[in-house]
Amino acid sequence: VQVPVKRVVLAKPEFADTIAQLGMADRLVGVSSINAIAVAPILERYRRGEVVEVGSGTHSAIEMALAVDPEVVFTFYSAFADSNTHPKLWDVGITGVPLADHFEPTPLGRSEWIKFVALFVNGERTADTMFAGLRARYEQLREVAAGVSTRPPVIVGWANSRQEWALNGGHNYFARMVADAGGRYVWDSPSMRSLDLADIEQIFHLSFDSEAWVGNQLGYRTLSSLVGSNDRLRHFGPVLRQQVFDNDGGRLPSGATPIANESLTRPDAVLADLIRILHPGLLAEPDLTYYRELPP
Amino acid sequence: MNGTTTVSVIPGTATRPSRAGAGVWWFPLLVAIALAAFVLELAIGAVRIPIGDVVTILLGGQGEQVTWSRIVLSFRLPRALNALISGAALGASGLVLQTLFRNPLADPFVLGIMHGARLGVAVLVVATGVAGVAFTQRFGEIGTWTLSAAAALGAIGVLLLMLAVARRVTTVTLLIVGLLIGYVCIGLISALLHFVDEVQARAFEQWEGGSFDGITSEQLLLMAPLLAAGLGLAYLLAKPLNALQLSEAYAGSMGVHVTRVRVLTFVCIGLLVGPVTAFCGAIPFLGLVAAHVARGVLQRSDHRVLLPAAALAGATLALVTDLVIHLPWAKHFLHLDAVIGMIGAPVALWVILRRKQMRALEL
Repeated sequence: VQVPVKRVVLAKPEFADTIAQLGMADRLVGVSSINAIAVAPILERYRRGEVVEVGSGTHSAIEMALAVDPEVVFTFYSAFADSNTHPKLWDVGITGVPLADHFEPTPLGRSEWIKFVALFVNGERTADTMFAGLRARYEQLREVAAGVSTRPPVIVGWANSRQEWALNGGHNYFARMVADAGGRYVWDSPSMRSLDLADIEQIFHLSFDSEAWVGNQLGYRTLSSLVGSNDRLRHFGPVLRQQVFDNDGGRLPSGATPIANESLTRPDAVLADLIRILHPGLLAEPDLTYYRELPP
Repeated sequence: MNGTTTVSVIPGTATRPSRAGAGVWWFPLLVAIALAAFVLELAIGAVRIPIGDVVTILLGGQGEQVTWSRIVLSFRLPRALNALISGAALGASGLVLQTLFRNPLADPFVLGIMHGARLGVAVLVVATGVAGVAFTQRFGEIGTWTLSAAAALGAIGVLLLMLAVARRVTTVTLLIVGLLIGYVCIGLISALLHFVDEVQARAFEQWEGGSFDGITSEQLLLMAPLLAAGLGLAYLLAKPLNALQLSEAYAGSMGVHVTRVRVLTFVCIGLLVGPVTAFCGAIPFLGLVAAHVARGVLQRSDHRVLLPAAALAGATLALVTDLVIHLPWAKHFLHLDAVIGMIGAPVALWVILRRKQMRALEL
């Protein structure tokens, strides 16, 4: 790849704010789905017709990507080989670059992927500055939470089907973030993956004493509608205690959520939300940025 | 039909002339396996609960830990009951469909009925998503009951289509129509799912993954009488189905109103398959395997005996496969369709290959 690249397609929305913060928005010519984008400069380029939707993972997506003639396509890296798009892109002569930030064991390690993306536009200095700032803010918050006297148990994820629960592995970056926020992640698996599957009765048992359920795009407006989707959830400890939070704060009418675009560039803000959820009153500013408490 | 030396002429299901009562000893064996699987379903799971506590909880007492009672009574017991009645319904439906179509490959999944249910849910998910407001803010108001209703409507839609066609074509053509409707549904589902986002896709997948898990007592109370009505109707159709095995012309000469039997059979299938698919998702293959097991072990073609056997085989297979799924696997997560294939296919193969006429069959 000849850097700096001038035409980029982003098929991993988690990096949308990274692209904007690195000053790459004007090089962006395609995204996998505009409904996953909540970053203003990218939405504006889409409205002007300078960014197109290319889809993801399908033959049509590859044809669409070919049509916009990108120098690089940033894609989601999957542990399941058949689910990856980058080999298919390579086959047709496009430089597909898989991004595997979601496998990182620490939140700051995950944010360092900003530096990798910056290499494609010679933006190392900008990335270093960004990373130094977010690291300082993150570590400051972590020190605040390190002094808590109790570590409330926390469950994350969602009911993925009638029988299974999907959640971050016990050694995934999000488990570390829960610990950094002064919580105890109850799913103690050795996995670094962003998606472990567990039997729902096991999660019920583990989470019964959990102070909070920190959901990931649960898709329900209220606790009653959440229970309406799966009756057994009514027995879960955090549901009984009405301590369920979803990261859909600031959702746009399209369905896009800011956290899905900004969690790499603002891990400190995500950490602050978790501290506010687990230790109310510990931070001066009480309002949540990305999370929302589900009302009854 | 004297029940002693009957010979089926359904391709692939032919039976040797046999003694009256041959294979009847399988009934208590299947009952014993089903009973054991049912008990183990309550005793074994991802969370280890001592058997003494399980018994205490079932007798109305409290387990040592507060979560154990809830796990046994709200997770495991409804699931086991669901596997029992849904498995029985799917087993009976597989047998009835194979007889109606005189084809050993017919079952609710192959014939597109379950794909119709899947299409109903896909249409609901997509329609809600494009209604102008983000789907995720609306899905909660939809809930499982609406998804189940959409699935039931989809399944009934396919059945009505086949009913409409049933009056005009032969049984073989009707089988092909069912297969083609299934393929159309599969294509439409695939096309529709291109228009959904991640959360919508998750809603579809949550419903679609066939499982006996997650059933509520209200849903069980709704299902049970419908399935009982379906099983009862199937039993009432036993004699006409016996006649249909030989040929429609023979059945007609025996006074069977073939078209009316077809219509009643579709109603029966709707009662048996609709509720199961609505509340459990698409469960492939179970009906097909159960029917072959029933025919194979009994080696008889009288539906008054075969129907209870197929229902029992279906219930047993459902309980055993569900038990395997919920064994405390450390690193793996098994799915129902895969386990039905792993357990059901070898059992069906063994039953089929035991029979000389099946080995010699050329389809």
